[in-house]
Amino acid sequence: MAVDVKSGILPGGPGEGVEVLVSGSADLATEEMLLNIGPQHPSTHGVLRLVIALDGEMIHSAEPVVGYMHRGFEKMAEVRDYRQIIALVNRHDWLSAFCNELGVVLAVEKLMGLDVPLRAQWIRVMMAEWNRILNHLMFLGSFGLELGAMTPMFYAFREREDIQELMEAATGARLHFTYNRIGGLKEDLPRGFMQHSAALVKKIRHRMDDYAGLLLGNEIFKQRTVGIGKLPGSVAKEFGCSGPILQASGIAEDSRKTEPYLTYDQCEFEVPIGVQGDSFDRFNVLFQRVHQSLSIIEQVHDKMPAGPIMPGKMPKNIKPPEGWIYARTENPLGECGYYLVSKGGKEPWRLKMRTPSFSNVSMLPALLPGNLLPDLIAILGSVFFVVGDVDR
Amino acid sequence: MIAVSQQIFEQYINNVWIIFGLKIVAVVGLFLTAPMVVGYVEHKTLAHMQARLGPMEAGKFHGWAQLIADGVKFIQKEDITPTAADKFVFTIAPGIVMVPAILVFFVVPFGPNGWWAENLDVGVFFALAISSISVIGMLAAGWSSANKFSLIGAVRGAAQLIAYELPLLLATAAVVMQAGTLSLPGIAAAQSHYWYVLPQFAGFMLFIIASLAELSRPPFDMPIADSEIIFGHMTEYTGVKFAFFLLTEYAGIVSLSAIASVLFLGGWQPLPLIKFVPGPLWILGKTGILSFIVIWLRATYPRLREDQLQKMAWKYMIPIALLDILLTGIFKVVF
Amino acid sequence: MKAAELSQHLKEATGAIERDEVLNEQLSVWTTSEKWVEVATHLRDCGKCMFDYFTFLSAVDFEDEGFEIVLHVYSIRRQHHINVKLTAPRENPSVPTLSGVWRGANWHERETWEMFGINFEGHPHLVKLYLTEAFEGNPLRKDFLLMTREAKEWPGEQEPKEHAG
Repeated sequence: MAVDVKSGILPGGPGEGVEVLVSGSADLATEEMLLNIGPQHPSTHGVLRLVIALDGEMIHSAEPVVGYMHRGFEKMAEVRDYRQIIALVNRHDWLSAFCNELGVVLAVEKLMGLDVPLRAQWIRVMMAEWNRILNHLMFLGSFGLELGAMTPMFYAFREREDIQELMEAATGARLHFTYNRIGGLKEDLPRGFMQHSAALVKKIRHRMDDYAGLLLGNEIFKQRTVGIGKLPGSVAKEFGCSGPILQASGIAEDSRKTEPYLTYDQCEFEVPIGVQGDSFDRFNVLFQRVHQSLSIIEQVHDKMPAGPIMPGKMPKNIKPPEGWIYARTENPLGECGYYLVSKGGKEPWRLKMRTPSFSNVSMLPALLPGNLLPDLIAILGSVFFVVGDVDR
Repeated sequence: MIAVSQQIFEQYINNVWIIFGLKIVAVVGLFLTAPMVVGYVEHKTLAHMQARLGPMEAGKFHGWAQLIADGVKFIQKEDITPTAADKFVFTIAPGIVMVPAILVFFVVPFGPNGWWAENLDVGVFFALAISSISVIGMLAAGWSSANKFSLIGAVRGAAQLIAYELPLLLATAAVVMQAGTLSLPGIAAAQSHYWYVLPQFAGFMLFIIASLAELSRPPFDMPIADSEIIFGHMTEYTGVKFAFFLLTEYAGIVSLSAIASVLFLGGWQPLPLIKFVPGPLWILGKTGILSFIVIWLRATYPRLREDQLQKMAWKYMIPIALLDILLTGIFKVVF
Repeated sequence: MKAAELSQHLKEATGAIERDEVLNEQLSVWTTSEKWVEVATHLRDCGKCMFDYFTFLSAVDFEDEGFEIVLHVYSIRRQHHINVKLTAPRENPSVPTLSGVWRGANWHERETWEMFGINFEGHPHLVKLYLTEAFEGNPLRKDFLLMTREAKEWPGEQEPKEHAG
């Protein structure tokens, strides 16, 4: 079939000048429709814009346009000292604030060769896992909402409220925790925290059955997701996709397992993987990860040692030695890494943020073409991303 | 009761125009209030199913006045017509959608002995024929909005409504064959021994599924799928015009539930043992239960995809409906 | 593979490694822009390396010493990391694109291009990723000043005070 190709320039917005491939079959004169999904659209979780060329409801090409939320964090990090950076980095992926700050704190500590007290490490593990559940619940709920099932979203917020209350008790914040300090933590856990946490683990585990019943076992949900948006493992690796998306494509890569940081090497857990890398697998992996996190938290409860949470007296100004380091953590959405270059000053020379959502979204042009418009939503909802994490 | 008995009219007010006027007032009144009740019940039911409270403030007691407040809000909103829209079509489209929904209430019987506005000999035929006119309004709204999302929604809606008209009609046809009349009160009266849901169970299920699709309610709400195409053909509508669409949707739930309860659940025919409950309450109760099921489904299911829906209609529902008619015919001839 | 082994293997196999350094157990190797694609392809295809996972590509502005372009890749199969680095001159920096080696490099190179003004030769779609078309300058260069910081000092407490207690 002969195909004639021409390119068009899209006016307006940060994506001005984006070239979009517009192709149509010469045999049957059907005109393609350019459709802008976003930047304001209910299912793009913020200000992601997708320029898609449609033939009927079939997607021929898709080009994500990002940058509506670019805040220049990497530049700002160069004029902040190391204490201030903690508050900065927990804002790029607002759903996994604790894990973000953990990454940058680990990088600085490693560069300085600091020994973090064991209790602080265990508390970090527990908080990171609670934050992971907090994040995953959001996506478990919103994926249902995008497919038209509104109830899981409200259930997710019910559970999130409980977890946020728990984390607020220790950190004093509900979203941007800023609980880490270079060398340890801001404060020790409040009294009664462990009992509260243990009770909540049981409660959440019990309530996860609601999601399984509403979505995983739902016939319509399966029809909408099984076999939709299959992502081969090789493509996922090539684009640097990580976290649940990579695992759903059958690759059990999880830096908590392969290169354990903190005390993850003393925790027992599994890395759930999918079979064919479709939307259902991605959702299912996310669901299983919540169960793994709950089990890690229970192990932390048993193993939590007593002791200090900061390594003695820390200097007023933190000045890591000259050098560079790449520290990565397994964030809820995937591999979050900080490439930190220090010149010995009190501010970093360069802080490159390698965010999971950026790589996940950059994969979309390879995954979307050939799918139907309603499936776009089923795919977009299962390629878990936060726009702030893409744009930084 | 809102629908007033015809006999009372004839006894006291013997003028055809006054009767006609009163009928219109009654039907329009029903059209305006019934959706409010269903809407409020939906608000509260969904809320409690989803671990939240729903409206609690308006009118003090459990937010009973929420929908009245919503209505006032809609009236106050600015009425926006997009610059590129076809202004005439854009303006009349809500009317095309709404008027058939009002007209359906003229033939719905709400009790025995004249609890209806009009007893047409072709009542079922009239109700189903007039309710399919709303497709035109939907297409008009989607096309005239000059919005790509509206257009996709309208085309989806048209395809869906046409596909589901057929199983709806075929399921009804089997009932009509069994009752031997096209008049809705006639069909209800014919069920004095047993409800048609027993012999026509397949037809009943088909009718309920097809009416969900006809109403664009979850899990068949693809024409207005809010996470995909914003709000389908209603995307560009604001204020009162948008309220007309909403009103039509909820009035549709009531009218189709009422028709389903007349066709399959015996209308005003009571269950044995509790025969003292008057007929109009029976039909209201049955309509209420069916409406509740429609709401319940919204809290439970995600939505299907358009092609999956079409597949379901053409490959499963229509053959089953045809088989149902065949069996009903054999049953009629043999017994 | 251990860092030292890997670096030795690369030196022998490609002959394009100028120097290497292991810092904090992480290996960095420096190469030249002529050999940039060749080294990357070797990293991907060689059975000993198998760098199948594209982590990130970015740059660091070292002012007078020019730009250092950093490619970080990881091998899920062999579980080792490598930083491949390249020093580009300050005037008209340009390197060949890696988007033919790992497709994931596409967006990272677009970002590096707009942020540092480093050209990627042969890139299929080198347009701005984050910034508007009208935006002038390359924000992450050190000579691009953060204007709010220039106009007004950081209003927060500059030096942490000792707690009284």
